[in-house]
Amino acid sequence: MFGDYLKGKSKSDSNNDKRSVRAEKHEQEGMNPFSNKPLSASLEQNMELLKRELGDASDIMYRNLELENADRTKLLIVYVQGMVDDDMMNEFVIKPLLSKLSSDQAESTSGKFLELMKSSLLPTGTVNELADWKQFLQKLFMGYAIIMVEGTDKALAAAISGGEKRGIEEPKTEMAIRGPREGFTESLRVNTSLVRRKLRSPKVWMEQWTLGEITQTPVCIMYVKGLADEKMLEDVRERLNGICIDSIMESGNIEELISDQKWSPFPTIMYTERPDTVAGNLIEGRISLLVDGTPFALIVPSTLNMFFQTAEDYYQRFDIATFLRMLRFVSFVIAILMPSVYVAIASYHQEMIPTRLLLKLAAQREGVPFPAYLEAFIMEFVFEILREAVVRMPSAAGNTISIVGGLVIGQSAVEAGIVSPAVVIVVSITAIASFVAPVYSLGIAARLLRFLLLFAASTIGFYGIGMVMLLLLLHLSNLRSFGIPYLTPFAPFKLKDLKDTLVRAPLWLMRERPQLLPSKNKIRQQTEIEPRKEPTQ
Amino acid sequence: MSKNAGINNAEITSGQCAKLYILFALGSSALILPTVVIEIAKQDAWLTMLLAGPINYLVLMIYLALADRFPNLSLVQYMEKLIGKWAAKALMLTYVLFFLVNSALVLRNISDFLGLSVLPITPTWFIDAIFMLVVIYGVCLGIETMARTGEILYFWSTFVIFIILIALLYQLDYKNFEPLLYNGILRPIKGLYPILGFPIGEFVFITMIFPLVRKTDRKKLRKSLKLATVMITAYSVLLTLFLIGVMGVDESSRSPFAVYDLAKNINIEEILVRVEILVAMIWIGTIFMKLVLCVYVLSVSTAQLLGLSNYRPLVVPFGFVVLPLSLIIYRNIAHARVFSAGVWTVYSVFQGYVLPLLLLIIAVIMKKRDNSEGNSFENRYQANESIGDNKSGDETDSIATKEPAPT
Amino acid sequence: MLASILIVLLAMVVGILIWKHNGTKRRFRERKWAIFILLIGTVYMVGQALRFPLPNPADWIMAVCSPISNPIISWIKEGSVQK
Repeated sequence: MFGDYLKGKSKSDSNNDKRSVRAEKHEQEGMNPFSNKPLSASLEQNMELLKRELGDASDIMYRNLELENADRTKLLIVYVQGMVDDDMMNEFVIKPLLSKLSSDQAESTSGKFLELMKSSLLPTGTVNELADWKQFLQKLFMGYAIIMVEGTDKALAAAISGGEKRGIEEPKTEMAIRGPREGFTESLRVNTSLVRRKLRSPKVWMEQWTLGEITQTPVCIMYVKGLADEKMLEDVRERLNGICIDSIMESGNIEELISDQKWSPFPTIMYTERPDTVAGNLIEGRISLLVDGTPFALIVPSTLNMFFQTAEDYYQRFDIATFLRMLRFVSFVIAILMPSVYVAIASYHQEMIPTRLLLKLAAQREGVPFPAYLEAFIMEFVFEILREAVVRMPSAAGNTISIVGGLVIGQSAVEAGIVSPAVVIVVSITAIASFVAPVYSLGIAARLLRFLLLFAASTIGFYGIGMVMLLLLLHLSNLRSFGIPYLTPFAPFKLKDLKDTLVRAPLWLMRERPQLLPSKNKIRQQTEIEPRKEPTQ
Repeated sequence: MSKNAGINNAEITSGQCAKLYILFALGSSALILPTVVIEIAKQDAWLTMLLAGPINYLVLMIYLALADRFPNLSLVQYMEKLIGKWAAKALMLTYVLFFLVNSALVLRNISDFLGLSVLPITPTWFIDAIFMLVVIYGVCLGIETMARTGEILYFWSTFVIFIILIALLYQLDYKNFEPLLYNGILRPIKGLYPILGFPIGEFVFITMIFPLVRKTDRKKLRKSLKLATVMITAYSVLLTLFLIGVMGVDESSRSPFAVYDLAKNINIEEILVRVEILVAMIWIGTIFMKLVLCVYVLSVSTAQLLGLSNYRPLVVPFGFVVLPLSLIIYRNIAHARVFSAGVWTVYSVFQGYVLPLLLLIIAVIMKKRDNSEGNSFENRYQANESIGDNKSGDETDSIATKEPAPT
Repeated sequence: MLASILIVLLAMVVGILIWKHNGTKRRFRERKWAIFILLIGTVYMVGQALRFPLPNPADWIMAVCSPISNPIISWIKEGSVQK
């Protein structure tokens, strides 16, 4: 159910000057024809104004009622079809009003019918009183039914939003073998409730925002009071305040608008589809941004090592979790470096490979018309094409494409002697390794960097790779996510935080929250619980 | 650190400062220095390296004593407070020249090494230009970024050095060390001469970094720098021991990049061969840090000399100077030997020990202390890194509920 | 010859960029000095490309320091017999 989206906004209004000035400017330019004009007391006039200004849109429904009370009160119900739940509309709005009113309700109310309705006639959870057109339109397009009474210049908004929604499903991009199988949906309220169900604490606070002049997208800042740093929260609010854009379609828009470093292939804000990931990060003192209309929630601040972790690491035993994390890191390095190292060895440093292997490779490369770097570049490019094609195609066609791409092109290119088998192997390993990255956005960074490194390797060999890696290291050291250096806890070095990086220490050893986040409440386990020892005889 | 402490200088931790110090030392001593020392001290070179530790420590004490008196100023800045404006400007100029020549020498080392080992046909100026490009980028990003990069490179190089040493352990031949002290204690002492100038005198760069160390970390700084000195000594002793032990005195005093040649000896079951590329990689990493620090200190001291508000405009122009200078600084091999083994030491000792010691004596006699802030050009971020140690929060920890939604 | 022209062109581009960039940040003294150092660098680079005999700081240092270093070196060299 949609709650009251504006409750948090009034709180943040005080530091909202810049935005409200800009919003006013927007209104003057005719984006919002009604602005703060009060409602009229006449139903006729209101309906006429609405129909004129909304272009008599076909999905906006107007329902006239006349009640059987002493005053013969006239009502007008306005709602957007498809955004309200039809059953609820009938059950909770129209039925109570049209059914026979009890004797005291049927008495003359002398113009106070609105209050009566609010207090005793509408059996819905949320009912708001509206005074002006701005609120009116906001509620209307959020899926409220709006009831106006003849002779009263106020209206009531009843929360009966509904319409078709996707149910809670297993997260598509972050599968887990062990762990909860629920993922976020497109509805903000469902998403916040999913996190609430994991953190049943009064300290989980939420702040409501509305971003996007036209989309009016509800955005929710979620944090654990007392664990999240106040300064960082203020920073988040300030950055959200700076957003003045017409549309927020997805959390990716927000990510791009509020991240520290605009020019970087690396993501400095993590996103996730899993409520348990969000909950886990909230407990560590991070802040989450949930956006209506997308199943992807943002988590700030994020450091590089978070992108190598999955929620499942904490559900599996620590030894296998550590192994898997290292595996992911190694795969990331392979995904970035493998083709360029191959090219560097094949074209500049043949002496590096053992002789027997070199002979094998040389025999394979016999008759291949392209130099090694061109070969690698072509195959990498073909692979990227294949990958993109498979992602965008329906799954049936996807299978065909992968067979054609993988088997037909790969095999026949080798058989025809156009590319050497070695380069096909290299590209395949790279491809598989690049799919290991648990967060897609880091995989994208790897894809781009691979080509940069390939270029460097084909011009000056290992020296080029070394230089690009140094550049990369400098760049990564320079990145920050909401003020936190991106490479923490490696640089700046935080010994205590190493327990949850490339290794995952046993839970009974992780007694403190990460040092990198400035929360005051560091202890997560009060007593030292070590594995029970066998009683000695 | 409070958020409103005037100019918010970028800050590095004491650990980062110590790691920069170690990397600066490794940048030269890891590859070039052992050759020169072994040439003089023969099989007792490792004793020389051991003797260099206390000297290193004493020099560090001079710098730290100066830093105690002027905690927020760099060497170039407190010079002016001690000996007057114009005398100070003249001395500053010598430091600018020192760091300029030093940068050129370091760049020359890189191109010599790469030209000899990895890229024999690529023109020198091209190698230099690419390297300089990365260095300029690094220096422009500022000291915090450089320090964090240094931390990663430090772990990486420590890891690789230990891997290499372990792989070579079974090849150590103890006969190479005999006879011990064949020529008395004098020979290892004579071997100290190049070390005095080559890394130790150059350590004066650290006086330009001290004012950037986080103020709450100042107490720890002394301890971590002492530890760093011990580690530098340990590294150089270990490397020299392995050089002599594995390659013998003759071979290692002939090879210009001895540690690189040392790694060529690694051969594990005919599979893990040619790991010297790893040595090349860590050496490029450490010498990169050395060059970045040199160019940084060069730009900063020039900016402080000229009274500029920011050092960053000077970085690219200095790149233009350092590049041709590195190409002409040695005319030929003989010239290089005379310069680096003899003359450089005297110059470096003058800049690195004599001048700071004189300044310290003047400061002690004049009883000068100064806590004022100098412009260290690092105010890009608003004390973000220190966000973690803010203890002055005001919110209570009580379970408070937000105003209920108007339902 | 071509190399020196290219160097001058590069230096000009860099110089203009420095000039404009620091102009917008109102760092006027800084950009003057930056251009001055850039000029020295360009002269050195062109001189190097044309194989001109350039003043070498190493020579100055050598001239000043060799009176001290030469005796030390010869002291080190003496008695340097093989075992």
